[in-house]
Amino acid sequence: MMRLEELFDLEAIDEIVGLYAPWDAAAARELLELFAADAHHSLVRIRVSAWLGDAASLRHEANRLKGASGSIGATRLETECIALERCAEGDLGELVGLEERIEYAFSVLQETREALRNPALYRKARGCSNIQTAT
Amino acid sequence: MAVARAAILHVEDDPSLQRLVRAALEQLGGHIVRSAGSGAEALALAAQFAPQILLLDLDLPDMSGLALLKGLRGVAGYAALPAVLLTAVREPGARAQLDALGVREVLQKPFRPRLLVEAIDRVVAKGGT
Repeated sequence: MMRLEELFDLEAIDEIVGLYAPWDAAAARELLELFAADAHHSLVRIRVSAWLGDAASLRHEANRLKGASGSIGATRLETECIALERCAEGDLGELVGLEERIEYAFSVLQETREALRNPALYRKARGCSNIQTAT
Repeated sequence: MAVARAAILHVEDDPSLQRLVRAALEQLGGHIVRSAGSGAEALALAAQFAPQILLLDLDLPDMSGLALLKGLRGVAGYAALPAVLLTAVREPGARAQLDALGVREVLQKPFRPRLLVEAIDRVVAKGGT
């Protein structure tokens, strides 16, 4: 299991939590969970584009998810989107390992979703750096 | 220097980014934000809402952000509104074309909330409202 620091830009998470705290502490988590649900749909669309050999749609969806992931602070997923976008800039028919890369992106998203349930993500963002993260 | 509060029409189809942008502009910037998830929704909202700034994604589900911007220019009160693009598209268009459409700033996704607010405040300070 990846550590929070490997999955997120914690400064970006800090900033998002700071937009809502202290009057609505749950709102930041709701926002991140909304992102994660939408990211799952994006990855499904990427998987279908790969099956169809539609490089343009794959690149477009990866680019879209990259922008959302980075903005929300989900940097590990953003990195996977960059890799998928680069794959799609080549010829899908000649790509080796695209399917594995997409499945890996799903696994990164799953870890990201699980980490969103970790209170340490939000406590850390409020400056409680001594709290142990679940690794 | 304090920047005046502005009414902003934000067009973005990603619901989490819609929410993030709204929180940033309202909580950090003190602005008023109405959101639309598509070009058609934005055009419908335009008849009921009088914003001072347009904040647009380029990659909308039903039309491009630039096509929407051209459409909005025909709506009463929208002809000269300053526009800001917030996009993951690397080359959104030629600078001359963007200038002609009233685009004052082009911001790239991923973005940080504070930088977005600073960009909007620059537009407001230059007379966007």
